[in-house]
Amino acid sequence: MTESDLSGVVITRSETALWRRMFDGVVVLGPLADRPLQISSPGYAIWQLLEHPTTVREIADVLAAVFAEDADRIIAGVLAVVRSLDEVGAIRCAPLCATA
Amino acid sequence: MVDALGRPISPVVARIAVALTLAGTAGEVVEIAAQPLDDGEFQDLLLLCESHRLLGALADAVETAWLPVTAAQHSSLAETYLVWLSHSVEVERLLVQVGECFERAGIPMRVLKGVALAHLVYPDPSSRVCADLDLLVPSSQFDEAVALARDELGGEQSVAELRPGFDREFGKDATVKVGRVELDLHRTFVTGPFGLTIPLEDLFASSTPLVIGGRTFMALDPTMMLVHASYNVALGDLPVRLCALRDLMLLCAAPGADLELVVSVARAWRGTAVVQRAGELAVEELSLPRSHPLWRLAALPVPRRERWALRSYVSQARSYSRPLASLLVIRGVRARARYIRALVMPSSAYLASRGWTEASHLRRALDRLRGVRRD
Repeated sequence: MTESDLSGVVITRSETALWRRMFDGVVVLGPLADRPLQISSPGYAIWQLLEHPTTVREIADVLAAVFAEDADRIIAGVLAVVRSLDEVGAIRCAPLCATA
Repeated sequence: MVDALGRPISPVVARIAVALTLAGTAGEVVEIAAQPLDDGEFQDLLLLCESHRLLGALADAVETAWLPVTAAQHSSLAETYLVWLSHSVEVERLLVQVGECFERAGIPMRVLKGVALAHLVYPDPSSRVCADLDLLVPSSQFDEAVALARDELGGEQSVAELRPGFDREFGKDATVKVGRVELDLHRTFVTGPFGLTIPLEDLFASSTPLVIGGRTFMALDPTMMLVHASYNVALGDLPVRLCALRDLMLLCAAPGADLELVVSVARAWRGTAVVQRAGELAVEELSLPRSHPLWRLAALPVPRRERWALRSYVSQARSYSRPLASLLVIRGVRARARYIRALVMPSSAYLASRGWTEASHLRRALDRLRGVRRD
C-alpha cells in the first residue's frame, strides 16, 4: 500500500483484532497472523486513533501536533504501521466516499 | 515471601511486591522507592513479579514513576512484559476459537480468572497478564467439552482422568494444551470437599458480559467473581500467589462489592472456612489496616467440620487427605463407592499418563497417609 493508495481510504480497527497496550506501544494479534505484532512508540497512539474511522493523513496530522513534528515527515512511519496492521487483518479499510 | 524456587526474598523486594499487590486498591498513590534498585534486586523483583503474575502492576509502577528504574532495567522489564502480553492475546485467541466451537455444540460457558478479570476488573487489561485460559462448563456437558477441545481444536490432554466419568462427577477441572496455550476446563472452583459442596447451577444462574475479539462472552456475576477470588486465594497456590490477592483486593474495591452477600453464599455452600481463610491470608500477607473490609471475612467464626476439611488442603499430605475429606460430603453409597474405586483403582491410562505403576501409586498413597495420621 502506498500513500496514494490510502489517500481515499478510511481505516479503522477490526473488532476481531486482539491487543494489549505496552507502554507507548501496542501488541496486536490480527486474525490473519500466527504470532502477535509488536508496534513500538507511538504504536499505542496510532492504535487509539484507529478506534474510530480515520485516514493515514489524519493520524499523521494528530501525531505531528502531539510531537511537534512535520506531518509529512511522520507519514511514512504511519504508513508502515498501517501496512503491518493491514497484513495481519487488524484493520478494516473502506472508500472515503461511497461510489454510486 | 519466597521466590519461585522457594528461596527467601530480600525485605526490600518483598516490600515492593506487597506495594505492587496493593496498588490502586486503596485509593492512595504511594511512591514505592526513591531511587532505582540495584540490578540484582531488580532482577529478583522481576522474577518474583513474573512468577506471581504481577508484571502488569510492575509495568504500571514504572510507567507512572512510582518505581524509578534505570534504562537497562526498563529494557529487561519490557522484554519480559512483551512475552507475557503476547501470550495474553494468544490466550484470548483460543477463547474466541473455543467460544465458536462450544456455541456450535450448545455448551454454555463462563470465562474465569485472568481473562475475565483483565477486562472487567482491572483498569487496563494490560495490567493483568494471563498464563492460561480458564473456562467453566456445566457438569452434564463436561466430557463433551473436553472431547471437543481435543478433537476439534487439536488439543492434547497429558493427564487422563482417574477413571472414565470421574471428572464429570467429582473433578475440578481438566487441562488440555491447544497449541501454545493451556485450556483449563473447570467443572467447579476447587478440588476436594469445598468444590463438591458448591451447587454448580448457582454459577450459571447469572453472568456478566464481556466483549473480546468482537464476540460477547459471559463471565461470572460480580458476587460470584468475588467468591471465586476468595476460593482461589484460600485454596489455590501454596504459598498464595500475589496476583490472586490483588484480584481479591480489586474485586473488594469495585463499586457494588457486597461482602455480606459473599459471606451468605459461602455459608450456603458450606465454605465459610474458605472465605475466612482468604480474608485471613489477605490481612496477614498485605498487612491490611483494621478498617479494611477483608477483616470482616478474617473474623468469621468457622464451623468445626469445615475447619477440619480445610486442613485437608493445607497439610503436607493434602493430595491424599483431601480425597478422604471429600468422601464425607459425597452423597449416596453408590457415588462414594465410585469415588473410592477411582482412587484405589485408577485406570491404566491415568497411571501411564503420570508415569506410575499400580504398585508405585499405592506405595505413594500409603506413605502420604502415614504422614496424615502423624499430623
